[in-house]
Amino acid sequence: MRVELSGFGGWPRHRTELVPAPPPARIPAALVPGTVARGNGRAYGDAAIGTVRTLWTGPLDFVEAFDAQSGRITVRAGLLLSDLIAAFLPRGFFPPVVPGTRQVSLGGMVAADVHGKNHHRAGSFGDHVEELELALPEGTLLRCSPTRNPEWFSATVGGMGLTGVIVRITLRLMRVETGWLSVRAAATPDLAATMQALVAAERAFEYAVAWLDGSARGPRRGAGIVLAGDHLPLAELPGDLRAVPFPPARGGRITMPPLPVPPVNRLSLSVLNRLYRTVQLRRLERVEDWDRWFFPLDALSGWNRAYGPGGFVQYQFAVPEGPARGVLGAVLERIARRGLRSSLAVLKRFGREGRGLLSFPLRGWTLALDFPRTRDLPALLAELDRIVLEAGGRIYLAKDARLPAATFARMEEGRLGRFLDFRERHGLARVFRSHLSDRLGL
Amino acid sequence: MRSLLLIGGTSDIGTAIARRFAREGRPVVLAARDVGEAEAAAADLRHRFGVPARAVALDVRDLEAGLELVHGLEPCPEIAVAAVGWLPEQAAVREDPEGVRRVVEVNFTAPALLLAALGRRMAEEGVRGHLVALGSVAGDRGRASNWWYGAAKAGLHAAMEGLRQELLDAGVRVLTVRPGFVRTKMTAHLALPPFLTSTPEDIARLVHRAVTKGRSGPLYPFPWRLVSLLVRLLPASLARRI
Ligand SMILES: Cc1cc2nc3c(=O)[nH]c(=O)nc-3n(C[C@H](O)[C@H](O)[C@H](O)COP(=O)(O)OP(=O)(O)OC[C@H]3O[C@@H](n4cnc5c(N)ncnc54)[C@H](O)[C@@H]3O)c2cc1C
Ligand SMILES: NC(=O)c1ccc[n+]([C@@H]2O[C@H](COP(=O)([O-])OP(=O)(O)OC[C@H]3O[C@@H](n4cnc5c(N)ncnc54)[C@H](OP(=O)(O)O)[C@@H]3O)[C@@H](O)[C@H]2O)c1
Repeated sequence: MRVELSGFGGWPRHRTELVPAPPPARIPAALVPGTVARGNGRAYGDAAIGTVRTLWTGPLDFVEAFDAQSGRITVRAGLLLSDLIAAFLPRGFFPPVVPGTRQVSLGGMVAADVHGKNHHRAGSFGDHVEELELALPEGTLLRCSPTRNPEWFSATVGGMGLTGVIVRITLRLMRVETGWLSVRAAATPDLAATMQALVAAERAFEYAVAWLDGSARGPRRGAGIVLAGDHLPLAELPGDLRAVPFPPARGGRITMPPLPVPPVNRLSLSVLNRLYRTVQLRRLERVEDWDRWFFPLDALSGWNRAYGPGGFVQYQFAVPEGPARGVLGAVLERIARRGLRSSLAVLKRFGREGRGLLSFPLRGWTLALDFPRTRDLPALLAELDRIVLEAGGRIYLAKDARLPAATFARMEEGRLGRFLDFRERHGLARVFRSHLSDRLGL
Repeated sequence: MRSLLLIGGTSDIGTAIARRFAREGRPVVLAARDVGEAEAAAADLRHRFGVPARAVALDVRDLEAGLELVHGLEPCPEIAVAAVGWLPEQAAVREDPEGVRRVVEVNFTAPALLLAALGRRMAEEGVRGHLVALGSVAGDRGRASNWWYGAAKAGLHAAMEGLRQELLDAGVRVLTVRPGFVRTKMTAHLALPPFLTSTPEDIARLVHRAVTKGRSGPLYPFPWRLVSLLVRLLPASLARRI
């Protein structure tokens, strides 16, 4: 069926033929030139929109094997993270890495090599994948792992769907004694303090992330809240929670109706920032359930529509440790100088490079910024691109909708050639094409 | 707990229904012609929900094989769901004997016959069970675009209504789901209006609630009861193009 699709940011929109995936063995026959896989459409931009055909993996959602001894699990790639957690958390297992929403497919997690709040300890999702199975055009299913067809494995992890359709994933879940976390929140007065507190939190905690206050100005720029957490062992669970060691996901989600006028504006942003701050700082040490801790945004479904029909853009970059402090300062300063506001700003330190040829993480820092799509935005982002490029940084493709090909090529100079060469050599470049890959010359 | 039998074990709606019941610990038997995929679906139910689940091969057009399966299942299932269906291009089957045979058998003869056999077993063995047939709003009134399919579904509705009356005293409930538009592989090529389109999970919740409450009769998702009423009441002079 021909439809108009967008990513989570609501922009850009492209027409494509949307086809639900048949069982794995029949997928190769469904691959026409210009196909890309789509998991749950949570990439922000145009990564999961095929130039001709978009193969929706939703129907590929079987759990195929599970070993309760080792936590080893084999699933089909369309399985949603939320369904995986719902089925296995009650048995004491949790995915080793999760992004900020549970509404993603496992295939999408591999293809973007996603990172979580524990990157400094656990690395990215691809670091926990033991084996992948890919559907390829010539009617074949190909297995790859770090030791078997390793070049296929490293091109596919973080490869944004451009090396084949991932149909099966084997990974190891980790054991947890409860679905609760002990959480600590600390307010920080400026950027230097935020960065310092984050580094300190990483040493002591499994999970650590900082939220930057979008309304902080002048010397307070970069002020925010550092949040740190650890899985809570059963023995430390407060008495009143003993009865529910594995709480279910929050029910009764509030749905944001599509509104003609975006309710997100300057005023509501500063109110929201203040509100968030107040809530986070009400109790500095607390016990939080997994859903609130990992997926705070999932409570309000369709919140991306709050930006109105024009959609929004998320800008996430990573820069190496060395220049990070200067870059982050300069970025916040540019945003302020242009009089723009980011509605959401999340800062995190990365531990190491990912396994994939094009994995996003690098040893350094990453900042994710949400912007309503306004007239002045392109110029600001072009400025930020330059800063990131000069610092030897890169942009997260899962969030990107607008990076120019030339800038991308310079940012990825050291890695791009190998990826393009791999695509060419195996006849993948003709078949697997998304609007993102066409736009970036990937 | 007695099992749920799903006839059409690879159906998207059927799979969602099976999951909804497996979640509460109910064993599942999946009958499908693609037994490999059905076995993968059964493994999924075992791993996810820790319930016994297995697949058996069945092409429902082989009516004798279907009856043999139904009679051989031990113990007798408590819930039987027939989710087989085939929605052909109307023009392609219009006067094609084999196509007509197939559309009637898959949508009407086979589900009616197999559910009838199961209903009798339930009655005889004192199982106060549930028969669930996937009908269609297309069977509520003929339409130019799909009248062979609609006619077969109308036949199924009539059979289920008769069965409901026949099995009333035995305590066997009979539901005929008329799901309206559902986003599945059957309708993947169609443009469906978002407001009137459900997910397989929506239908599964609906069926689960109706079975749990012991309901019988036609079952519609919320807006479709009204749509169906209007469609049926519309005078023929106005019903030229629905
Ligand atoms: C609220 C929110 C918070 C987020 N937080 C984080 C975060 O903290 N960390 C992080 O790393 N990311 C984060 N993300 C991004 C998200 O994790 C990634 O975009 C992820 O890829 C989305 O998965 P999906 O199934 O929706 O994939 P889609 O958006 O459907 O696809 C994303 C890419 O994966 C490819 N793909 C999908 N399935 C397959 C497959 N089976 N085979 C081959 N390629 C495939 C697509 O072609 C596309 O290139 C967040 C997104 C949102 C909306
Ligand atoms: N989707 C809708 O909008 C909609 C609306 C109204 C009613 N319905 C009805 O709901 C039911 C389920 O449909 P669905 O949407 O879930 O579509 P589906 O996924 O295509 O399910 C149809 C199932 O019927 C099976 N089948 C067809 N012929 C068969 C045969 N000879 N032997 C065995 N199995 C056979 C198919 O098996 P294979 O996988 O082997 O082909 C498939 O599993 C159907 O009765 C359909 O008519 C659907």
